Amino acid sequence: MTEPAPHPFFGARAAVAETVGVDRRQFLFSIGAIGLGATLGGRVLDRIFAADEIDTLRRTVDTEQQWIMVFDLRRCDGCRDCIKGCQAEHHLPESTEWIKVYEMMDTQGRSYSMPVLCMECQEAPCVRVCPVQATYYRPDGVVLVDEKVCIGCRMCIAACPYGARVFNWDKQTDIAPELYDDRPEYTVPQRQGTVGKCTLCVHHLEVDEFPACIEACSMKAIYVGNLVTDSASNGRETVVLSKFLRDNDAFRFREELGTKSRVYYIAGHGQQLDY
Amino acid sequence: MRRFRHYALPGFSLFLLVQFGLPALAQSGGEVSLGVQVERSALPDLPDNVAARLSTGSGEPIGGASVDFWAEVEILGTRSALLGTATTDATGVARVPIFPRRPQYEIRVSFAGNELYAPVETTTVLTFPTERVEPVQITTPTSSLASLRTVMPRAMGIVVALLWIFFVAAVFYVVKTIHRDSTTGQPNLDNP
Amino acid sequence: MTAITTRKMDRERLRSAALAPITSERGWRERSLVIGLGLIVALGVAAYVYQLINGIGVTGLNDQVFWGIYTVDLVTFIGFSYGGAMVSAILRLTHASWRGPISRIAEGTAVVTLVIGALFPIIHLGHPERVWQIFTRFQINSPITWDMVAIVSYLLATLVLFALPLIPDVALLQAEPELGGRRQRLYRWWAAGWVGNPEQRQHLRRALTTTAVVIIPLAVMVHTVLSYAFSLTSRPGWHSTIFGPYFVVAAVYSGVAVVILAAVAYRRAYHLQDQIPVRSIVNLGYVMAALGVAYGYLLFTEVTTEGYVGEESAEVLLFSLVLDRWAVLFWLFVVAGLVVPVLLIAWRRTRTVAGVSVAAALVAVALYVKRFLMFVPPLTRPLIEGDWASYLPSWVEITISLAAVAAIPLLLIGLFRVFPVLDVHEIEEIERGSDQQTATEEASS
Repeated sequence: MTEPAPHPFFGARAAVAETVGVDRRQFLFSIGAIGLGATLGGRVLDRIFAADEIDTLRRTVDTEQQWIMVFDLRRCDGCRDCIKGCQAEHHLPESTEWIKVYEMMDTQGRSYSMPVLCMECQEAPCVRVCPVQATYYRPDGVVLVDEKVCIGCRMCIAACPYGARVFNWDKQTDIAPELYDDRPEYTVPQRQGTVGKCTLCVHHLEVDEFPACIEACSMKAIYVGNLVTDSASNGRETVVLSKFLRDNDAFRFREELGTKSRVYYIAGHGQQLDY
Repeated sequence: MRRFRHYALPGFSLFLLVQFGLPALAQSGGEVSLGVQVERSALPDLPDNVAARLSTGSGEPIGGASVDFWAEVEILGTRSALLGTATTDATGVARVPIFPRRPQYEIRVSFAGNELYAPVETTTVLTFPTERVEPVQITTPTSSLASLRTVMPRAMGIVVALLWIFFVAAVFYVVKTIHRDSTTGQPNLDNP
Repeated sequence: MTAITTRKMDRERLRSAALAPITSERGWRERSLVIGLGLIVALGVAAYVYQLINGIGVTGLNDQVFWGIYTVDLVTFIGFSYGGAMVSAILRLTHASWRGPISRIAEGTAVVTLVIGALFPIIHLGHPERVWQIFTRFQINSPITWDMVAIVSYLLATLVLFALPLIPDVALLQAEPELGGRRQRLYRWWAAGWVGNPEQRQHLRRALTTTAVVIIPLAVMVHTVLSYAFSLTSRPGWHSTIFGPYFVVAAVYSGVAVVILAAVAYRRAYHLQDQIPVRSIVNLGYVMAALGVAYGYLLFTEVTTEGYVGEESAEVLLFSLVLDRWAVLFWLFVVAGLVVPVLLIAWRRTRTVAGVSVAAALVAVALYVKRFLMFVPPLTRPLIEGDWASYLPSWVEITISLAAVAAIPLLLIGLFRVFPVLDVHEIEEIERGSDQQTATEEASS
């Protein structure tokens, strides 16, 4: 039996193995298997178990500031000034609403207005499902979207139970260049093909200023607060947060979903409109 | 006429005294002091009390006086948050409840003053023992392996990795063995 | 004529039939078909370029219905590829002797539909140029990540399941003189020195059997993981435990349908009536009917579970599906996708190649409709309060979807111009196996 013609693919490698003096097929196979196994296995295991180091899963906690918001529905009259203020602040088109005001019906058949925005959940479904970790937790609790990273898969929109996220379907062409900013804290204009949402105006909070919706609210129904300093303010009056929430039986929206939202609501139907 | 002159000066002085002197006397003599402390509650479910004692300079309690309690807090700057308003009882003590959420509160108690007493204000830092303070609701998300949400994708990842290794190995195996058992150059495909 | 000579003649006929699409002249019919399909595909590519330039706002999607027919296409096309897993893997393990003539077509269809389906996760992105970040900024908890890993893994597996059985057939092609030199080199490399001796056949058989075993859990995992992008959210209508089995059964159901259509098409176009017997088609039809019954059971269970409790979100959705806005599409699916195909195959008079083909065509289209009904109506329901949303696909989405459909036959034609459309080795192995069985039976009697 004559030697088979060298295989076009394995032929060259076989020659190398010959000089080494090892059975060439065993040599090839073991080299291939070891190399492949080590590379694949190493990379895979690394990826699987390194997940704990990724910021979006186990974040650091800012011990000085943990932001929350409170909506006093006894004062909300559904005027939607908060929406206009937010849109003006972030240069959003009129069709984009980061804060939405819903007309809800209570058990007595009365309707009341309820603003809903990003709940900055402590267990946020959106952060969990983002495939590229474009959305993440800040140490002070605010959830942000980095529009330089977002691939626009809209999985986070699917996961959010509050409908708080919107997608930037179209390009914004009417923004002056000097307003441009691409920080996740304040992205102007919103980049087409990415996801946008309320940022709690952290760019204002960082310099001791109030978020745009709170400034705009004529009824002073919206408060921003800090869980650590146990205080909240609507710009006109300040409250001891824990007392405010406890005395008024504050609740969180869709608490049963386990999102541990940072936005609290005080139940009401606009009965304090003379504030 | 001479009699009027005799009475005018004392009369006028008396008038001045009553108009200006007596209240001043009352003010200075009504030196009010305000002492603030925490009254621990007996049971963990009940709140502690911030108690303020309003008394005269000589230690006499002042009852029926309205006292405001403010917490000096940091929220976008330093602001005052109203903790409560209470009226002093017969012992001069006014109380407002507090469920502490922080180990320390800076409390400013103020008495606005009335016809009898001058306004007074005092600021104290009140501390609460750790076991008394209700912890703030901040959670770090679960990433321990005990959670199904974290176990499941990792388990699937391992299975997928094994499948990859299998498929690549299968291809290598087939090609290697077929080539090894290859005989003559031309394929003899008519073998039954 | 001796048995050996008859067998030799049959084998010659089989081989030349398998090579017919490769060696035959390109008729005007084929040319015009290729040109027509190519045009549609080109239009689709142009539409996608338009979308890349103008952004994803050119679709009919909005903030409420943020996933539309691109997602339906994704799941449908990847589902079509499950026909390969069924025929090559499950039927191999169950030693179904009739699988031989259609196994190559099934594997080829699987590769083609999977490659097309794998494009859609990228097509529906807002920033497709950043998709590589899924691997560099790996988020192990994300269903989209699982989708990507699953699809890539399944692509590998399907390619392996297509490539390995090709080795002996490609060795066959080396003998054909009229094929070009480049193709000869491809075939020689691929053949890896196959000569057809018993040892080699043993190796291949062993590898194919183990691959068939391993691809089944992978196939189940892949479509289950695809369903998790929906069922692992809290949305009413999506957050359902039945989505995993739904997707897997629907995938195999529609995959078998597409294999039937491809097999019947090639059978007619190249006159392969002898090589692809009626039995193969009809038995595949039986498999499809069984899967249809299974899918009907899943549907019934889902509707009953959702409808019995009276939970508001489930009730309004069910009402809109069964009686209101989506009722026409829903009942169209039930009748044309479940009832009629099963009846066509159950009734002997329609249990012909033509009847099975009609059933398969109905199934393929109806399952597209069903997937649309699974994804879009729950999104039209307001999440908190307000008006129901609506969704109308734009011309961009429609063009790209049609181009994907056109790409299937186009790629199949291209594929079977290079590789044999019949798995000659497989057919012969099965025959050899049954011959040996009859021989031993005769010897022992």
